[in-house]
Amino acid sequence: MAGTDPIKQFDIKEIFSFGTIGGDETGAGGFDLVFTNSSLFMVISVTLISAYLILTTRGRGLVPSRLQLVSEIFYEFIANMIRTSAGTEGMKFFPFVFSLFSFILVTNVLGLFPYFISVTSQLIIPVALALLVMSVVIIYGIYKNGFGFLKLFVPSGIPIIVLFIVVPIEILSFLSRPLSLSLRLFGNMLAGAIVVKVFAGFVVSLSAFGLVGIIGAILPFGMTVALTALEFLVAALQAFVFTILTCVYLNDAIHPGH
Amino acid sequence: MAGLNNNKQSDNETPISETDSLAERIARAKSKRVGQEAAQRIRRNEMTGAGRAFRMVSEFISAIIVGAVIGLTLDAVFSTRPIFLIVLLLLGFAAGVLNVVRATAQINAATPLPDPKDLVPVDKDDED
Repeated sequence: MAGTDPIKQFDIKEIFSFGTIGGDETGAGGFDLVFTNSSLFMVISVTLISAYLILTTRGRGLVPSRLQLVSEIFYEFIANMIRTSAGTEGMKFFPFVFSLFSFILVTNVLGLFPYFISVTSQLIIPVALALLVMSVVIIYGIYKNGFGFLKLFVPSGIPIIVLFIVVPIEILSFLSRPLSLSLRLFGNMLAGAIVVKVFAGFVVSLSAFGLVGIIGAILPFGMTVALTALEFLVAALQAFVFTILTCVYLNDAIHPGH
Repeated sequence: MAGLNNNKQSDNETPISETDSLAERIARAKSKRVGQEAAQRIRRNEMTGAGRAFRMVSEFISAIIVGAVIGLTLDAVFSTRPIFLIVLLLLGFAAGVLNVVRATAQINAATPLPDPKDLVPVDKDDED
């Protein structure tokens, strides 16, 4: 069954190590700083995004070339998204939201290629991104509104007695946001990668049974092709959902008390 | 085909002629930018059915998980084993329902109501 293990694609391999921080002499109990294949693909993603955006917009053509047009469409897309869900004031978060969107989109799509690792199907990456979003929301909300940010947990026009129940519910609802944000991205990408690999594994296993097996393998092969197409849709969709929810949460930080 | 499309467009919006003043055109472009139209266009293709379902599930489950984890932690701190767990689990359920209601309201608000004109058969449609 060599090569058909659907979990093997998520193996983290060490490429080189920066050494260990803390711990005893043998390094036990310390914190390993290791550059892994996951880190490599994050670096590749960021390089690809930066190179594409810098190279295509370098000409600054008034009439854009085709490649420049793609960059401009991305800009317009994210800018519209922020304006409609967080208002014009939200545009100061444009660099943040644009970076999030392009990073998630490119890592998702890169993960679909054979032999490439899907960075966003490592739980820690979506969690780190979601925590980053929530930190920005909380820090900016308190910086901008002071204690007024706490109005987020107190819906207006509610009798005081009911508030004792509603406020804990609102707080729990707020705390559940980073979890749902990260679980959704992680779950979609992990499930997609595993399902494609399982069907592709059927092709290999079936073709071991001679001619009948090879003919039968056409079915899972077709499924793999169809699923790969679907995964491209999911990759783009999840990047979009993550960013639009970021905008919605940023809107809470900018205008609390709705 | 092309001629027909042009006619339809001129019914809906006045065509931009070269004699239009620049300020007017800028104003029109700006109103388009902040208008509902763009919002709807973005959100209409937001989600497939499965994507929407997955969003609801994750909103609901995550609130319950957060409630349970906080409850267990408080119980461990005050050594009152089931009390905080029960209370916060119930609050988590409530928060999960609240999340789902909000997400649904968001999706509903983004979905445009059908135009009343589209509900009545118009002669123009018979040509197609």
